[in-house]
Amino acid sequence: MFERFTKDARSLVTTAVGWAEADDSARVDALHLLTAVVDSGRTAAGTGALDLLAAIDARPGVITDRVSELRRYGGLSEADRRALRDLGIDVDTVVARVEDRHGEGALAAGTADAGDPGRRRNRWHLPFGDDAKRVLEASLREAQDVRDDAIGGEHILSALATVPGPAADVLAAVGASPDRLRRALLQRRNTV
Amino acid sequence: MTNATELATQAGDSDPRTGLRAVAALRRLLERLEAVQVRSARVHGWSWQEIADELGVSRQAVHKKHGRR
Repeated sequence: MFERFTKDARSLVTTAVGWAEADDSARVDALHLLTAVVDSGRTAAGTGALDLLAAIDARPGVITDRVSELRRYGGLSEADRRALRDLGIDVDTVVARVEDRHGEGALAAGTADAGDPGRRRNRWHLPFGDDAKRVLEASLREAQDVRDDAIGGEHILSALATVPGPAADVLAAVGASPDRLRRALLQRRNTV
Repeated sequence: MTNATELATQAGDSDPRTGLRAVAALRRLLERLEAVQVRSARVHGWSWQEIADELGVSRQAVHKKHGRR
């Protein structure tokens, strides 16, 4: 499937792997992909995903802020926390206790206090989580649905909105629903 | 929400979506908690074998997942 990815989409995926490595994750997840969409290091050059966000008036900075807030909760969105509260699990308390003992932002992790500083994880061995795999698979469908030949960052963004989970929740909160994104994709195709 | 699901909620039926969402969220939280606790144990000088014993998994499994850090 990766052979159909544009250079832009490949750079997005590589950036996501870099973020997963940086926050000490065992897997690359959908939130890492979303972080890569709005990564300032990447965005300087301009990307298909950012153009699509601009087309629907969604601000990348707001997404960055929301994702880092979610990270502090171990990658759990408000909807996730509400669902757990329904079960009697108060995530706010869990986060407060963990941060008490292991420092602020402990669940967001980071390698600063990691055990073996000399031994770096080999990024190419970091596997994709199920959610990230589903997003990448869905990006192919997003491209097919609007009859685009190659899979670009904009299709990964559109796919992120369709796979249920915290990344889709963040996108929904900034008004980037699957419908709006797909309409913007179609519109772009008609005007190019 | 459709009328039918609204009625179901009012009648006290739990929404399967909320339950499933809670399971998925718990799984993600678990992964992060494990990373924090394993890191903390390593900082406290625990061996991979000791950590694996507490987690109830093999030493190889825990080292593969957390080792190259």
